[in-house]
Amino acid sequence: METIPAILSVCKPIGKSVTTGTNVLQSYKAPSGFNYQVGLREASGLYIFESFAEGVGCSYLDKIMVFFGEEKRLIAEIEVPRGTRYTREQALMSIKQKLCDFFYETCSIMDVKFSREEVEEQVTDILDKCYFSDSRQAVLQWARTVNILH
Amino acid sequence: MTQEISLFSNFGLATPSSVTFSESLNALVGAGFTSFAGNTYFNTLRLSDGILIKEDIGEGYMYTFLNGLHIYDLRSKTLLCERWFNCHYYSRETAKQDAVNMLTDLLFDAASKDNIILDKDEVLEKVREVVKRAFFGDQMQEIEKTLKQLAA
Repeated sequence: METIPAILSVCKPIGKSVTTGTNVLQSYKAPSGFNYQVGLREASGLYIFESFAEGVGCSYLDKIMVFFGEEKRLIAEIEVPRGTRYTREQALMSIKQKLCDFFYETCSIMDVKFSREEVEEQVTDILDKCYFSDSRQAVLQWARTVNILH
Repeated sequence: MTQEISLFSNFGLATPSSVTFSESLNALVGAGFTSFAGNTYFNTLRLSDGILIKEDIGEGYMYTFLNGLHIYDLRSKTLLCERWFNCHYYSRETAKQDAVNMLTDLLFDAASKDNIILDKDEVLEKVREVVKRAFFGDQMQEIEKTLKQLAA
């Protein structure tokens, strides 16, 4: 899991994880049966790296790192409590909290005025699209094929 | 079974050799894992009308628990919705109800973002029908139907 910065320069997904929706950059199947993966999501210049372990009974979120821009500067590093189960909602909430806190802190240091509600709304919107837009499109398409949507 | 196995391995949902059909569960069942505590964990896969429902089940000494539910769209190979549960006793009926709730919630959310107005009762009835087939319909028939649809 410490290899995330090292693989930043490579950034070539080895495949898409259907079970999480991320582009998988690295994966390792441990003798315990857990499949450890590093997945990448991209949203409005943000590069979100998620480390998680996929098992038979459950999947655990390990760590999230968020980088920004061409230079891929680290802007958020999120260590989640041990035993946190992986869901997109969980990952989204953790990132949102960290990004907003970091933004407020930076603004207060630099004495920049901002609206908390507006910032939170925009961050939520960007992350929400990144995590759930594929699912929404797919469910509407599916609903049309089974005549739920006309 | 070979065709079914290749279907799921393509989806990254199962180790190719590990999927078998269980008549008692009326579902495809993945290889289980028994922990040191003696609990057995396994997945079931159910199909209906282009969706795949994956149940994560934990079987203990006294009780069987539903640990998680994941619903996928087979055509686009997309995760539609997922949910983890804690101390949620397993029954096929409650799992069916949870799947219905998850799918309708997502459908209404997606429709509202696209400004599509849906008839709540009609949607709920149709989603219930689809999910009911996944849990209580003949799964062997559904598998054959799905394979034909995907091959077409």
